Amino acid sequence: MSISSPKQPPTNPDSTGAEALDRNPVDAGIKRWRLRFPKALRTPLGFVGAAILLIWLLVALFAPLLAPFDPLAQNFGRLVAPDGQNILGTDTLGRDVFSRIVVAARTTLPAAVFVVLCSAVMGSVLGAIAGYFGRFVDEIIMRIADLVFAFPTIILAMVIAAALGPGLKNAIIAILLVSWPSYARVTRSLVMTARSSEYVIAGRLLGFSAGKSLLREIAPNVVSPIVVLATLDVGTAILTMAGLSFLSLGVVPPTPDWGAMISEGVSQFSAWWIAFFPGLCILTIVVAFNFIGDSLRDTLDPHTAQEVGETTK
Amino acid sequence: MKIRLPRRALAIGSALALTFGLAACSGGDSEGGAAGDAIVAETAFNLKTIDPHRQFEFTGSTIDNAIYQTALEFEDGDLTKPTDGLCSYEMSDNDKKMTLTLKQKDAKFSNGDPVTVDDIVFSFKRLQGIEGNPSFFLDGVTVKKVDDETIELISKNPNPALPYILPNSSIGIVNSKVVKDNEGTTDENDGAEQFLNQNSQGSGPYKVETYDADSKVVLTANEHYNGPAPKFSKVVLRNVSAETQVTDIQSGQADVSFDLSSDQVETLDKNAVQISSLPSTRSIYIFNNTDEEIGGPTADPNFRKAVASALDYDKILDLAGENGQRMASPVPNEFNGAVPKDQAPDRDLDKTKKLLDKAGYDGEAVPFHYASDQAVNGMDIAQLAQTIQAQLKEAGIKLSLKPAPSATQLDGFRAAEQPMGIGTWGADYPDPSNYNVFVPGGSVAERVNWAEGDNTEIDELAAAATKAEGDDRSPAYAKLFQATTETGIWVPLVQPVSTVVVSNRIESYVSNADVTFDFAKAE
Repeated sequence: MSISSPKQPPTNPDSTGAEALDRNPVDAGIKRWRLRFPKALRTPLGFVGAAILLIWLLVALFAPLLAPFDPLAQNFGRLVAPDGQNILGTDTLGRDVFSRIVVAARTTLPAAVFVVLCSAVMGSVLGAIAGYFGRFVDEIIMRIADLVFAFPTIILAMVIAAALGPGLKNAIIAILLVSWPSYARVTRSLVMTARSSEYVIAGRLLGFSAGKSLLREIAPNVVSPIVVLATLDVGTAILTMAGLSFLSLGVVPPTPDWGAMISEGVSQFSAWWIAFFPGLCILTIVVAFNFIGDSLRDTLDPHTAQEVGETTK
Repeated sequence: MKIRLPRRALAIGSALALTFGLAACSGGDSEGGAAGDAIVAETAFNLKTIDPHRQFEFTGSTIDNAIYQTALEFEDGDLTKPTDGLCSYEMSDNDKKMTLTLKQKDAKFSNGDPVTVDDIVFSFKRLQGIEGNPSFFLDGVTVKKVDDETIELISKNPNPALPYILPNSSIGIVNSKVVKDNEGTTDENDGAEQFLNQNSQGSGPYKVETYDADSKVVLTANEHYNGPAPKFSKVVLRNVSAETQVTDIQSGQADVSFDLSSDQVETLDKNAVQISSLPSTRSIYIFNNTDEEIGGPTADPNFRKAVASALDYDKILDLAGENGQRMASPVPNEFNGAVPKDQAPDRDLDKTKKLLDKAGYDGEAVPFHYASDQAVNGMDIAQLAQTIQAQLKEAGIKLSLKPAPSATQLDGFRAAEQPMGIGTWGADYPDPSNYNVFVPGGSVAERVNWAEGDNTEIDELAAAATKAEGDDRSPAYAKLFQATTETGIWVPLVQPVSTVVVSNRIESYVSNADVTFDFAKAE
């Protein structure tokens, strides 16, 4: 097989002429990513999502200042409806629901982002190894991924969390273990495509090691879809964590947690405020991450966006 | 000539036809709502079987109470006085021999067969022999037929609790002939459970019509019942969650709700329903492990007493709802041998501080175990644990909560591995001897590594209580349980309330601590 001189990697349909002229594929990839990130947030959905997320980040950051009362103190009457003092009412133990919701953001948000980052890194690395080396390495990694895929996510997370015992750390481990395979699959397919590109083959012929080839040549070209997937996944991670807490397998009481608050509210239909407001929090934050993820995908990953557009037409 | 209907008219017509069609389809289920001669009751099922000699759960016991008669009964729910049921009884002076004499000679099973001494003997022996959950009731008892009217129950050791045990619905009397014909035996080879689930063989006011352990059990009146015929000829017991019971009882879909918590009862329109609050036969307590290696500070009596004086019991009572009661020992207040509730400790933070100083407690967090998914008579154990943690924190005692599903928590407790936590005990029978499990060497005491010989004073009191007879038993047991509670190993928290909500359609009913709701007496 003869190999021609290095060529440009396939460019996105909407790439600018200036980028197309860039001869270094690595720099081109990074520049493209940098240039388009702000643009993503300029779309209406992206803007709304970013605004909601910003509000939540500020809430989490300034939670101690925003919470009017100690979220653990059982100082008020039980099941008091929202009024001037407790603006979102009190729960079954007489704790201020607003203070608990605000403080819960400090646990939920960082934990969700952390778990997604970890599973994205773990999944991508495994997927890249599987896609690049192929053969039995690929078989082993992807069959393990299939094994995880065979179970419904929440059920498997429940089993793992139940085996490890309740607690935030164990909930994070459980979600991490069930969410890495989707990253592995996406990365593997992208790496397999990129691996046979001429610029990668050329690099190998020039003496690049496997690691260098993966990091310098392939990674910049596969990172965009992973970023999109991760952003969309933060919402799922929040929902799964809330689900585990709902089942008493997540955050240990009395630490406030949205999922656990909803669980408490389920048996108190008449005290609607206990479950309603934490539910609203989960809804807004999941929607925000989905909006941002959609907008990022439209900009960073036009191939997928195009496919999604075609299938929905 | 072609007639063309406008499209909109067709659409409306189709929609109406569909609506009426669906209504017609759903109209056949006469048990869907509370109406006519059927009484509809709802509970979240905890139902494994209704074979009386195997069932040991609330739902099974509620059903078997309506199907089976027992040798003895509690009159009007007074758990301190067993009275005659199918038989009258007499205890020997040394409490070792009980003589039962068949009293209700007109009692008949649902197939018309008369109830005989043979049926009673078979039922007792089957309960003992099949080794089901309630078999322990007649442990160490020899059953002997004397003649066609008399039975002797001979116990190895004095057994003054026997009259309190026999009214249990698990010791229901079955038709021995029919059960034997359907693989029923008095040993482990018994195969009559499935048969008894579908074809009850009792002499009580009702018999089983349909049995589905997941959704619904329907009972119909036993026409051969020797008591007054029940006003409602049919009982429908449905498996419904507590949240749905709230809406069903208010909308008239149900006549009786068994599982509403005090908070849920608060939300009901009191003019639309009747509420019966009964003292529960369950006790909720804190346990402290006596082994220093496992419990750390809980092994110190001063620390344990500090816990008892640090709790704000009034707030804990709030969680149990109206009519929840303080407890001064693990024995429910209505039982013989209970320590009067006015002797229960009160919150005294100064005393706590002194005791903690004495114990040399350095503020280390004590793991506090509880079942996160358990509710006792509507009282949520997870919430109780959080309340206790907050109250003890105010007093300077730090707990680290260790929630777990009830089965997991119970495994750890049984293995005596938990330093501290919440325990619950439901009475098997209303006699103080059932609470011997809490004295050193008892099965619950072993879970906190409290062995016989660890406290000679209590061992002596236990021996005295076991020996006591007649009217001396109650004070002897009260003394024993007072001393037991003073060690702080058990910190009794609350005796919750069992609430039954009844719709206004039922004009009169009987609801007491023995039979939570008597279907046969509802009118």
